[in-house]
Formats: sequence, structure tokens, C-alpha cells
Amino acid sequence: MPTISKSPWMMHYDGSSCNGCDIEVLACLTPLYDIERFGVINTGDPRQADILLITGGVNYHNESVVKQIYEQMPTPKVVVAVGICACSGGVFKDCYNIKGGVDTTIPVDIYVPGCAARPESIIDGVLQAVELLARKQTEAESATAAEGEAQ
Amino acid sequence: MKRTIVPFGPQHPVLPEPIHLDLVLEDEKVVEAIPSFGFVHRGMEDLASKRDFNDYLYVVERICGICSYMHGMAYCEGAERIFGVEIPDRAKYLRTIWCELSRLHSHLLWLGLLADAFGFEALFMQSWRVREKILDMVEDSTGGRLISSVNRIGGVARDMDSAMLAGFVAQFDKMESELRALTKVFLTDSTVRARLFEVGVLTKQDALLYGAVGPMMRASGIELDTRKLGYAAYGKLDFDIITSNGCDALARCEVRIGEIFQSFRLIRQAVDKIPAGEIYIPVSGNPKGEATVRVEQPRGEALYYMKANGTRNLERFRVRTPTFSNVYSLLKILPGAQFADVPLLILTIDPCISCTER
Amino acid sequence: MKEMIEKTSIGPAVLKQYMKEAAAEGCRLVQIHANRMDGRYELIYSLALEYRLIQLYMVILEDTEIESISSIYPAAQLYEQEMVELFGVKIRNVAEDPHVKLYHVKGHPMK
Repeated sequence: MPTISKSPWMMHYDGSSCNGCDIEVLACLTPLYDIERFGVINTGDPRQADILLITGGVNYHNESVVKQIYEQMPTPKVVVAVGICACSGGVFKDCYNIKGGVDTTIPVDIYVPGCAARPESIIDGVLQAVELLARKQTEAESATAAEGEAQ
Repeated sequence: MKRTIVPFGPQHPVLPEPIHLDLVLEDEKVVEAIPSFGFVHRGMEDLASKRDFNDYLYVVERICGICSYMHGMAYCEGAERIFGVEIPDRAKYLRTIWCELSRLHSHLLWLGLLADAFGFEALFMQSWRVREKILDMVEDSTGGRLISSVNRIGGVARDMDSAMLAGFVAQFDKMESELRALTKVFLTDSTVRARLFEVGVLTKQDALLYGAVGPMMRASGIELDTRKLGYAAYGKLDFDIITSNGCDALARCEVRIGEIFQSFRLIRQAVDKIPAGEIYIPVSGNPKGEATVRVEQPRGEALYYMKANGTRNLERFRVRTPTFSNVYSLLKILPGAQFADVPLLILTIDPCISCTER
Repeated sequence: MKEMIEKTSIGPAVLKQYMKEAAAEGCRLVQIHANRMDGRYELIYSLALEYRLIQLYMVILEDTEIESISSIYPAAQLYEQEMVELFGVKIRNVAEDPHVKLYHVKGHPMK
């Protein structure tokens, strides 16, 4: 029985974004939007996070940071790309230092559109991530159970 | 004494943005701070040569999502100077109103983040609750919460009718009284004072020498505000330059709080004085020439340099953002501070890393 | 108040002396940036005295090495570092601290 969907922990990392989406992610935590009512808590520690929110594209300097954060997170994990820059590079796609969207570096599960992404759509993205997380956990659990039976 | 180097960032719980500092510590005391940027560097200045100068406006607005409006406005102002056009008066007033709305939301955002940095979560939430009302106004009038794209070279794209303007002003009284109660906590509460008073002192001489701008400079007792140059409609409005002689983190907080109330005053005046008429004059052809524009952003003075050679693309676009100018002061106030105060000190310059690195 | 912008051109030989005098007068450094021209760089130093803006234009050849002004205006080292990294302008004694790296870009993307 997946219990993680009642209290997933979310982590936010700012890639090379313009700040717009970051501020909207923060705005999700504040009284008007209050994402915490779904049990989601923002954490600064990748080792405790289930959902990774990345705003902004990936550039050649923060590539390794994004990879490292992703690897430090425990499985199952879900990556949400927030905003058009994180999805595809957006207006900065042609800049010399931009590698592209987040999916050029790590696997992305949910894409949230918008420039800047609105808090409503960020919340929608996070909730879809929570569902996916529960599904991933159930799959992982049944896989271990099947393995146990086989032995 | 033995020295330890503690890496700070790029991923850090206090700051939403990536900044990396290598802090050289002796026990808990910072001896030196070595910066290392580049996590947000995109290369936007170079993009000017690849985009049409009209389209580049939308790229300029995305230098920073917080002062997006002012970046766009300054770009248009620069292009208008190159073309030699004078935009209609109504457009100037509309620009002023939007500028002050973005200053309000930026300062409230900063107050919230500061409260979060010293661990006063309720104050963070309350500041952002008030900020949402400002964002609602921005959204009502422009259609976007943060990135509004209402500027055009030659004016603005949207008008605000008198009912909308009156509606905004009608909400100000309640907001001001809410903010008075809120900002009183920042300035008088003993736990807040304990974290801010005499922390991160930057003297007047140092502020000048290190090139500090904006509230950072004004909190060190220097009376300079680029709005006094009278771009947009600022020349026709009356406002004070808020300064403080405290030179510390509390003084910076005080200056920004003063500016919040000053912004309300400016919008009220602009709404009273706004003339009827056109909001846009068409501009055609390609620009040729150069222009330098200075505007006062929430974080301080920003300088834009544009050089056009008569083609569709600008030859050079350069922006010196306020945070770039304030970073050096930050590096100089960090040595001597306690390690626990580092996030707080970084916040007192109101850092905007995406502006700094572009 | 109308914005006053003064434009002056200056040679690399007298740059440091000019900056010394400006600093003594109480000017603050607003910014420094480089423009790419064919085979040359145009460096623009912006100084401000109260609300007056003074733009100093200095055209140098690509391989000319110029003197850093960070001993007069310490904040200049960030701007100079930026020009070195993005444009490859050659500046002597650019930073007091060799660890300072701004953008970590490969080569000089705007050269």
C-alpha cells in the first residue's frame, strides 16, 4: 500500500532560469496557493526528497550539479520540469551557454508549461508527480514481492 | 588558527537561486569569501545579434523574472532614444504605475525571503500574502503575473481604464494598514533586531568605493535615486529618496520598507495626474545609433547600453544589473561575519543571480 | 532633471591617471564593458558623479594589453574579469584574487 502519496517531499533546484518560475514555485508554498495542504513539504536536502522540481534550462556549468542532485535522491523519484525553459530551453535555446531542456541531462517525467509557469499549473504538475510516485512505489514493491516468491 | 573551507551552494535551502561561495572559516568566523558563478549564465547579450530588435524585447524581459517589467521598459526607452521618438504622456504614466507595482512586489518578496532567512516563517507567509494582491493587480492590468510583455517600442500595448485605476487605489488603504502592522515587526521586534542590528556593516566610503547601488547604497547614507533623472513620468511626480545612516542589515530593511510606502504614494499621484490620450505611436524602420539608459530597479540602478547599426539586429546590447554591482560589496561585508549570518547577509543585497549572470 | 551623459575618448596610456583623478573627485564606477569591433575592442568605462554620467570610450587593438584599474576602484575587478572571460581582452593585474571565476565558459564566446 503506497503511503508516500500522502506526504511526498519536494525539492526545488533553479537551473538557468530567469527567476520567474522559481518565485512561482515559492508562491505555491504561501497562503494563497498553499501546496502544503496536499502534504507536500519543500525540503532543501536531496537525500530526503521524492519529487525534484527543476526550473530553467541546463547550462554547461550546472549540468553536473543537476546530475548529482538526481543521483542523490532515493528511488522511487519523479522529476518535474517547470516552465518552458526547463521543457525545451525556451527563449534561451540559441544562447551559447545553454545545453537545452532538463531532459538533455536527466530523465524528466512531468512537463509543466508556461512562461512563467503559473502556480496553478505547478500544483497540477506536482500532484501528477505524486500519483506517478505512488505508481512507481507500487511497481517497485510488487517487483520485490515477486522476487521474494521466486526465491 | 586552522582554516576550514566550507562550500556554500549552489543548491542551498535559503536561496532559491544558485550562487556558489567558498567560505574560508576560522572556527565560526568567515575570513574570506571566494565567489564562483556561472550556474545561470546563458549568454543573453550575445543573443542580440541573432534576434530581430523587436523580438529581442521578449528576451530582455526574461533577463530576470522579478524585475521583468523594468528590463523591458528600459530596453524600449533605449530604442526610443535611438529612434528619437517621444512616447505619448499617457504611456509614460502607465509605465510609471507598472514600474511601481513591480517595485512593490519585489520589495515584499524580499521582505518575505529575509524573514525566511532568519527563521520567522509566519512573517514570510504574511509578506507573501500581501504580495499576492499586488500580483493580482499586475495580472488584471497586463495579463501576466510576472512577465507582462506590455511594453512596445513607442509606448505600451495595454491601457488601464479609470475604473481599474480607481479600484487599485481603493485597495491601497487596507494594504497600507496591513503592511504597517507587518513592517512594525521587522523594525521593532527584538528577535528580528537581534539578527539584523549591526550585522553586515558597509560604511558610506566603502559603499561608494565598492560601487554599491540602490537600497544597499541608500542604507549607507548616500542619497541617490536614478528615478530622479525623470525617465517615464517620474519627473512630474513628487517623491522622497529614502535613506538611512544605519549602514547595517536593519538599515537596508528600513530603506526597502520606506520605499514600499513611497511606491504607494507614487501610484496614487500618477493615478491622479494621468492624462487621457494615445498610448502608442508606431515606430518603423531599423535603429541606427547608440543609447545609454539608466533606470532604478527595485535592487538599484541598472545601466543599459545599446548600439545599433541600421540592420534588424542590434550590434551590441549590454546590461549592467544592480546585483552585479552589489556583489563586490557582499564579498567585502562577509569577512568577519558569523557563519550563521552568511545566508542573511547574502539576502540583504537582494541578490538576483539571473540578472547578474544573464 | 534631464539626464546628462558626457562622452570622452581616452587612450590606454592615460587611463589610470584619469581614473585616479576621477576617484579623487568622488566619482563612482558604474560599469565597464567591451564592444567587439573588427580587429579591435572598444572598452567603455562609465563613471558617475551624483546624477552625471561620464562615458569613457577607449579603442584598443586586439593584442594590446591594458592596465587594470582595480587598484583604484576595487569593484572593477569583476567587470575586468568579465571582459577577460567573455571577450578575451588582455588586462594586466586583473584581479587581486586569482580564484575569482565568473562564468566558467569555454574559450571566449563573444570574441
